[in-house]
Amino acid sequence: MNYIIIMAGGQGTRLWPMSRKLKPKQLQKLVSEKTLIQETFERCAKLVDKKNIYISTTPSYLDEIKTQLPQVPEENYIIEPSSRNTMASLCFIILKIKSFDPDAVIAAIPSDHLVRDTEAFVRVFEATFKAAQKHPDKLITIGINPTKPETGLGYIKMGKQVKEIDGEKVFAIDKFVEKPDLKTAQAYLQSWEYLWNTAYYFATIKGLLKWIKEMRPKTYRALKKLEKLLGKEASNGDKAEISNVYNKIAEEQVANVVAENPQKTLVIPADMDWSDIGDWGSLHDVLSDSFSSSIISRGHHIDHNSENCLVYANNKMIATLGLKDVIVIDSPDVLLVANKHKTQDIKKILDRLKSEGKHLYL
Amino acid sequence: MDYIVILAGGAGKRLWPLSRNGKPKQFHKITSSKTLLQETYERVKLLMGDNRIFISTVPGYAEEIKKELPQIPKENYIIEPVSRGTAPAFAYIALVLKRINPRATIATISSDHHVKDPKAFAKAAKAAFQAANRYPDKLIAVGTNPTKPETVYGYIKMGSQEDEFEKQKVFSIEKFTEKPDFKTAQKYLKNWNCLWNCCYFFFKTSSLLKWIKKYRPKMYKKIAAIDKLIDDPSREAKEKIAELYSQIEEEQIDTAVAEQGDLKKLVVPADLGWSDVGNWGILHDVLKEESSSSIVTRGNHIDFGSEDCLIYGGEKMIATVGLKDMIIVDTPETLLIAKKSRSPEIKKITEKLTNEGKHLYL
Repeated sequence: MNYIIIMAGGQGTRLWPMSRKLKPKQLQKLVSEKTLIQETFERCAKLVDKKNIYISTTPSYLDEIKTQLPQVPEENYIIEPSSRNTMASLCFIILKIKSFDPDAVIAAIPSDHLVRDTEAFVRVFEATFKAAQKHPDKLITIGINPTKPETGLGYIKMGKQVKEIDGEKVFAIDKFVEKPDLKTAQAYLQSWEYLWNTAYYFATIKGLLKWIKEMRPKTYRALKKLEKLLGKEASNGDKAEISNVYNKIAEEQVANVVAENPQKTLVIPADMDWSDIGDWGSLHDVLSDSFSSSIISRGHHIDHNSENCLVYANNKMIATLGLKDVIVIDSPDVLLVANKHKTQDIKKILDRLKSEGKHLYL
Repeated sequence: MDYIVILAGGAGKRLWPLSRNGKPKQFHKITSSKTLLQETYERVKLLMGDNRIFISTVPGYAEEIKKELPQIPKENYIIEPVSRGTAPAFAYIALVLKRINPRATIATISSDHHVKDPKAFAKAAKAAFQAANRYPDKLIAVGTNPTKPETVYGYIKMGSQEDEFEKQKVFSIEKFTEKPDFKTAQKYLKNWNCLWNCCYFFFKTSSLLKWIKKYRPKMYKKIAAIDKLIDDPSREAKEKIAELYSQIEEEQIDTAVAEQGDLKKLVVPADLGWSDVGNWGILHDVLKEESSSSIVTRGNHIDFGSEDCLIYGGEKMIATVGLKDMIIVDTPETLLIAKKSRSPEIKKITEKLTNEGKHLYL
């Protein structure tokens, strides 16, 4: 059986001040009247039965997600004891699904991406599920054809084609590459063999277990220990022990472990009008493309002679005059005004707020 | 006898959204912990006692002024029935003052300017009073040396030196010139004989009424009719005055009288460190100089990599990233973000709001 696990435990701060510690990006309405996690759920519901969609998150976001996705049954939540990055989450997901369907094929996908071409998404996902069944010993990922020289994303360099499924070509992976500088990104854009790394992973439970055992024996041992503890009827002591073991799993990203051994992964290239909305600048690009307008604004906004701006009002009237390439994000307690080309520097602001003890603004 | 009239009836919206319909610029603490009106009072206080300082305003602002300047006697308020520009306001002031002293010489001083050097102001004003008394048929102005090629001020072109009072030279005025374009302003800056017109005027009340009679006979008719009613304390008389006054065509003193070619006029040049704080860009320049910092902020502000910005905050934390030459003004209902060089165009925004019926933001 195919399952989709929506990973919703991330704390993405790059869209600060809208995405906040207590209400990160996936729980925000960024591009429509629905939040990103609601949009992700609806997309997935076109592929698999709703009862086969699982949500992986941490206790801190649980209540908000339940409010936003009331259609998800209680037992479909996979709650990690704490926030320990995606590798640990994946272990927990594997154990949960394995407990009732050891032959499952799962897709683990982020909850905070934007996909505007849902049909393409469905087509590619169906093919990718099939690829995962045909290659039970491999991880299958999806790569996106770059449409601009993006420096905020990692890339996948394709190897040779190994198969074709439902018209979607499947490629070996030559290597994964880190976020490039602008010049390199421009070169990648021109070369057919580079794709944006989505960090969507499809695999059989069995294949994943084997992969973890080979790549991270220590993590695998922790996983086994957890499996034993989870199998018992949980007493309080066991719960503490579960967290204890969980907290010892190395904090790392699945993407980094995957990148260490590209031979174990295959990729399906896709065009689905995708964005990870990694910063305000890229959100502005996506919206201004799709609406063919250089000014994108939400809420009360009045302008004279500005161009290429993103303006998100909260409850105040925002007046802009003669601006160019500026991002304005108003929120109840913080206002951000940034040069569009410098939005990746928001991190520096957050670091500063942290070091000044102003945690309530984070 | 000399009297000072502080002009506090202006509805100045050029510092929108800080200055609003109900609370224009003169009632805001912009350059210090005192309002511009209070600062103006402190300046003129160097010249004479409270009983000779008068306030000219419209009914809507009297309460606020009484709160800010409790030391000014109640009988020193000259309240125009409605706002009809400075020309009828000056005539109305002359009617009131001539009853107190038929030989009164008055100075009309705006309540919303910034003067860095109050002593220089006092010295120039003293000389201007003496000139007005010596030359009762002439209009006396105070001008200040330009410090940059400003295009939003009117200029005074000096002629020959005519006299000297209190070691201050007094020149004839060749002409008043309108706001110049940038190139002309650059030329004016280089010429020693071009001054910024501070719009401070000194004159005999009797002369002013003569000038109005000569240059604006229609206006004078109404003023003369009001003159006959003004001593009648009955409600009917007051209503009649209001009716007559509101029939006067709106006009400023500059075009009605000051700029008349055959009117003789003198100017006292002075270095006042003067600014009319007429737009956000000018205010930024004033504050920049006083604080010797290219980024001037009020309220909670955090920045990475910006330069030359004015951040005028309220309650909210304002974060700025990579900005240059920007003005940010946060008020409870409205937020303004403007390119500094475009700040004189704020009217385009307020006009747009007016056209859209959004009067509550004005």
